[in-house]
Amino acid sequence: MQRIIYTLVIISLSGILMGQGIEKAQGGNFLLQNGQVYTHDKGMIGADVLIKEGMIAGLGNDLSASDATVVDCKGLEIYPGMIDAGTKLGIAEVGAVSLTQDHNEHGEYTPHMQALTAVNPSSVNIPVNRVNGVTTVLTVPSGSLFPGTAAAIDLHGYTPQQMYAGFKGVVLRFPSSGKRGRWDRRSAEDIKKDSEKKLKKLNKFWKSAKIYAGIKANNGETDYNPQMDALVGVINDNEPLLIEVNKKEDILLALSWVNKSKVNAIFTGMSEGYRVIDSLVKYKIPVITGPILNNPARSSDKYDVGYSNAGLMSKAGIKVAIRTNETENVRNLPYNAGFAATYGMGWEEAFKAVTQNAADIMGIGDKYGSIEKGKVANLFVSNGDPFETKTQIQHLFIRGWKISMESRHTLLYDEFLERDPGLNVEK
Amino acid sequence: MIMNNIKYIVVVLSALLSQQLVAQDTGDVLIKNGTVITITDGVKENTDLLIRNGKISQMGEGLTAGDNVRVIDADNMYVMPGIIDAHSHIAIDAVNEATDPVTAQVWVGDALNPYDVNVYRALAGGVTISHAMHGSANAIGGQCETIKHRYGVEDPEAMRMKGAMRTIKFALGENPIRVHGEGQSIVPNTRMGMEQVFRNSFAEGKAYAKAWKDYSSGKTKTPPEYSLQKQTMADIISGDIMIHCHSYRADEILMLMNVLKDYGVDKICFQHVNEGFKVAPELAEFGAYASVFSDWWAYKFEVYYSTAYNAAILTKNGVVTSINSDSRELIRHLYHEAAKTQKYGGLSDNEALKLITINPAIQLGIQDRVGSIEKGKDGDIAIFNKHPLSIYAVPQYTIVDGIVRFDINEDPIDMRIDVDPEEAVPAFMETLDHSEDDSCMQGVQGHHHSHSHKH
Amino acid sequence: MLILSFKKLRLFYFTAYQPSYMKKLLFLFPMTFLLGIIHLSAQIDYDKFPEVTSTYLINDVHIQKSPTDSFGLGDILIKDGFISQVARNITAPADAYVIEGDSAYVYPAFIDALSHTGIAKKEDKGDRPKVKFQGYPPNSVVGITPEVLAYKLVDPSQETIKKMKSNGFAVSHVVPRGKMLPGQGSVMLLSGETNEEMLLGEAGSMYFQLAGTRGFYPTTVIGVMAKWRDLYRQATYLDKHQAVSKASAGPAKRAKADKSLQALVPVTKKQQTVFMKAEKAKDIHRAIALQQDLGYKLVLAEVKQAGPALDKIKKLNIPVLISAKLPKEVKEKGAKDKKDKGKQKDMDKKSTADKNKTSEKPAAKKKAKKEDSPEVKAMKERKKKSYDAYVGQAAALEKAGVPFAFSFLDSKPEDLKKTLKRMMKAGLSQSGAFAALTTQPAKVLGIDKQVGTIANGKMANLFLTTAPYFSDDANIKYTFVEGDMTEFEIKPKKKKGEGSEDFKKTLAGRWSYEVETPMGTYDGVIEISGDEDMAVKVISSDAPGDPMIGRDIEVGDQSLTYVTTLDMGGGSMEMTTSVDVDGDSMTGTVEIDGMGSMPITGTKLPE
Repeated sequence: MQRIIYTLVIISLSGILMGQGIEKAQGGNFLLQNGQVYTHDKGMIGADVLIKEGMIAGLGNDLSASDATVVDCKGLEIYPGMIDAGTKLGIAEVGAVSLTQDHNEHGEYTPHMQALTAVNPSSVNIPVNRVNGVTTVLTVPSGSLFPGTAAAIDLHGYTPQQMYAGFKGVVLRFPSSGKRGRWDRRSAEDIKKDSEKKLKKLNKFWKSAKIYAGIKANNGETDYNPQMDALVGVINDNEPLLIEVNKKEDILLALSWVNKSKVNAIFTGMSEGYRVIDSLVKYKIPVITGPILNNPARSSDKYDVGYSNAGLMSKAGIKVAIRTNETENVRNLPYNAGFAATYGMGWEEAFKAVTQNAADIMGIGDKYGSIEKGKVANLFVSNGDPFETKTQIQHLFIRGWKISMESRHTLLYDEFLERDPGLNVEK
Repeated sequence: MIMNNIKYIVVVLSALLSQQLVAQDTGDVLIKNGTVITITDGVKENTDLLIRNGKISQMGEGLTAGDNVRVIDADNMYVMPGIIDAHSHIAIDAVNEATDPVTAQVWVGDALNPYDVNVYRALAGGVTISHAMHGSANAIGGQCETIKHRYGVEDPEAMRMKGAMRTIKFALGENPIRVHGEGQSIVPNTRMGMEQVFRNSFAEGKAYAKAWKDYSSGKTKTPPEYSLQKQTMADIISGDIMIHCHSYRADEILMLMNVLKDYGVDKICFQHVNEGFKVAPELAEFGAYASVFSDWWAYKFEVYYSTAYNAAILTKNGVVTSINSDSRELIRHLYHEAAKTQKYGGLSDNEALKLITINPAIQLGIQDRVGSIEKGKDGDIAIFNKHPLSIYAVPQYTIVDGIVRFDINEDPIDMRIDVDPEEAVPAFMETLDHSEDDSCMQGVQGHHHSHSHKH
Repeated sequence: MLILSFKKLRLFYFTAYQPSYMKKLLFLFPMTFLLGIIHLSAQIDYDKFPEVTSTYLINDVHIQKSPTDSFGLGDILIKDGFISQVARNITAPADAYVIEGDSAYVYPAFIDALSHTGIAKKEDKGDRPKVKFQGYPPNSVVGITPEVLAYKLVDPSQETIKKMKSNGFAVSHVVPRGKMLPGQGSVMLLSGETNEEMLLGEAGSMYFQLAGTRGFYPTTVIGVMAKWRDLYRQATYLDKHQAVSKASAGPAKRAKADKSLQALVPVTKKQQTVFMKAEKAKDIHRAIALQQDLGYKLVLAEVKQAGPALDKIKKLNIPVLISAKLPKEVKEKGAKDKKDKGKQKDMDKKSTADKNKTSEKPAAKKKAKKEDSPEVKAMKERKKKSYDAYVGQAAALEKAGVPFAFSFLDSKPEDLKKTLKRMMKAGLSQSGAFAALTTQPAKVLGIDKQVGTIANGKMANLFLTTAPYFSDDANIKYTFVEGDMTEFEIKPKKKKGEGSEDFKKTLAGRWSYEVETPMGTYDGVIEISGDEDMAVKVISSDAPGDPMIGRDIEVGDQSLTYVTTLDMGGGSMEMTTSVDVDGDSMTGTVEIDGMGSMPITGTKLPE
């Protein structure tokens, strides 16, 4: 047994596309009958859902399609697939094994690093997470000032291009004046100095990028410069810039930077967003926040600021999406949203934050985020409220494919619940 | 308004602080009309619970207490035993003495920090007891301490759960191998070496006990050289100390059980034990306990072959299992972590709740005092507005020894006790990776250079 | 020719906690004189000249004989290092060096109950010793050197000794610097040409810190505590083992020689006291837990946060040495101050508004600067409370009836008076302050029969101030250490008060400055114009074209404080510079936004 497992490890780590012992996805058209469908505007409605060629082709009563496989959803609930707008899924495999980590390139200025390039469609993490109802994620590089370009992917496909969900965004990790963790022994002054130094770097780089983009806008000649190239869309075409920022003072500084640079910003992280709500409202910057299940950042903070932050921002009228910032446990997205819902956000807004809002912020809201005719058929069928911990997901569709509910975790369960040989034969 | 706020904080904090001046840290409280989840004797609707002098004194209907006893109206609320975390590193100032593969002599109970605000945050998640553990840098790490979350006391001695069983941290696999094999170029550099480290230390402990016996019986004239480390090993062999062993892979779990058999040691709880599900029958036969994460995996190679169904498989195979936090974050919502066993493996409500109450109590050797709601047990109680396994449950009150230590209605923002006299606003901690700087490998040099969790 | 050189013949007596030695000591006094008379100097050294007398008469002074006993005006006669008479109108003996006190004030000299006075800082070269097993390093690598005697490390020429003396001290209990167990303490007189001359006696103390060594066992606080238990018990059994070997009862294996363990044996026999550094309440509890576990004699040192452990300390009757270092002072500004500041701030607002025209800033930022949020206000309030507890520690101990002395591991003697005044403002009595510097340390060190008060037969350790010690005008003019007089130059008193015109003139001009930052040294020029309205302009060498204008300028008694704002394009930092000015040089700190401070030094540039 052990040997088989190791063979599997080696195979999956070496990136060879091969099944994980998981049942293949089922293609074709599907008719989901007799279920309750959740819609953002009307709530639960009794309706059938028709899936054709990967898209939602119909929503309503008495739908029929002769070529469609019927899925009986009696007593079940149908929800749009959840979107985690901040993960490393696909570009990171085993935490402590650095050679399986493809999210952090060397260099301060690497906006041209494409997360999509490094997505491993055979990642064992993908099935484990999608079976909890997460159908789309934004996978985000990490590292220095401009770590790269994030990409939205659907959690089924055999090539990154197949999985690509239509959004890419350059990431800026705004200089932080916070501590990096408890092991960070830098003095308060050192931290401040470091962040100022980084801010100077940012401004210098940005100035160059603007000049470069200006030349491009006027069809001028430039040398090969992939770093600058990566920012042309952000500067000339108003493409969004994902700005990771968390500490109050840094958020204010980032707001002033955005205002000066006139970029189309999406703020991510935002753990102290609740402290600067007035400014956020004024500048109408959308927010991808999370994890919600997160410790307060300061020892003086109230114990539940992490839980309540998203709700406070959303109540003030800020467009909020929720992320896990996870890799192998993206599957906890509904629980992050559930805690936000419990601590002030309310169920509807929290659910939007992991569906429609996330899609809207990424500019793919017309294709993702709800169960509507014409949208991508990303949805799941469950026996109840997806935020509730014990709820089981029965069926999962990604781009119209009926996805197996198996993953490494379920397979190991099946194999070991009643191990055979058990104790006696082993001896 | 501001002054009111300040006054409020001061009042609440001084109320907490003044309790320590009372000779014993116990109180009286009457909880009315709750749905009482006893764990060991079913769920009792509309039931009152009276705690006197820190102990559960009565359970039933229409209970009364004197005018001086605080009454909590738990109508429409769920009353359960205080949650117990069998693996944490809060409230201690040192986690790893990472200088040698064997440091049985050190004891995290020496470095208790009653000012750690994480204790309050754990209380706000219904957790009344945690097992403050040494880290996993060494094969035989230090001795641990079971603490009661009496947040507000300033004397570290008052944090201890007096009478709790002595415990010690062991660790298998990648962490000790990386720290010592790779870091120091000494044994253990492999899982083979790990076994010999344990055998060596147990042999030393056995010989040491004999040498002292010979001295005290007069057989030898001069005292043996004193060694707290060897003494501690002797105490494990004699059954005075229970082992809590950081472990992941099935093979190393079996290895340690074999070593223990050779020395007649039978008190062991495997911690994390991500591959425990593979050897559940062997664990059950040995009588070993398992304390696991609800769903953590893939943060390192030795947990790549994990399953979130681990707790369910272990439970169904008869292994006394608990869900732990090993994290300042997870300890705040262990009730939710336990609920995941309903998703992954379909455990019943009571089975799931046992994982954070009576089972960890058994694993810490304190099951006679806590872990269920029974007459005579400690008045450690968590009260929720919804069923504690629901995502919508919010802890309302947490009571330790009959003293309300968390009350959602009297919950000021800033709950620090020890305030810096020079800096008003505490530093902001970035969360780069939600669990990156947690726990088991704290204090190990170079640990933070890696990008991953290390547990 | 036969000059009495008492000092050079001091006997090395061992006193602490051993009254029997005291008796012997008194018995030996006559012997001392005899020895003195036959002492002859072998060398001729005409670079010096010998003191002609060891008799001093201090006339007409207010005498504070002890913390609670004011003698009033009187005279003090000192002979051969001892106080021979305290009375009104003493007739001067023929050999007396007479000091006309002119109604000055005389106090018993201070005793420092624990410090590193006279011991140079070890340079940390950062060398990592080659040790195969990090868990088993040699004792020396991890600072376990209980065999080291402090006095052997004392260098009489160290500036710290002079500093202590010029601030009224005559005796220091010095302990070695280092990590876990740096060594044994020695009681030193702050006068003498060699360390042996300075030695009053071994203090009977073992210095212990909860300080690990990075990379070697013990590293952490739990490692240090476990190691201490091991060492202590090993020393206990070593002693038993040696007793068996001595009795040669049977073929017992000889115990291995171990100088560190051997040095700890007196601690286990309660012949020595463990002086343990325990700044915070947690450290105090840990120190006490170990002591309760093992049962030795304990003194808590450098205590800063006794409050939460006060009951325990009192109950167990553990002697306490509190730190002479207090948290940075919270400045409470008077109403007048506020007004002026308001004006300054308005002006400043204008100038920043001008600067910021180019880049619009979020409204919230400006607002946040103007007024603290309720949350921050509450935190400031809590910080103040905490601060008050630290400053009020001495008063709280006094109120609780716990006697205490001072240790000086983390403070400068020249700050002592200021520190004492802050403690007194928080409720400490004057006699309590004096006791903590005289009688109490003498008692803790077991030398109270010899020193600590001004009385016949006591050692002539005293100092003379030009005014009552705690008055602002008081300057120490003489300190006597065992009758050995040091005279200090008193600088002419400059007019006190804000903006003393003379001082403003001193300030006016160009000063070069250097700020030590973690990023390196920053320098530049500060231009100060000393007209009626002070103006401060800071020109950094890095950006000479963009000077910062100082505001909230406060000119104190030989000090200057101002605030500047560093604009960094998109954000700004507030920096508060506070310097003490001494003639042509200034030293102080630059504090950034309440986040920490960096040292600044400056020199006045020639016109």
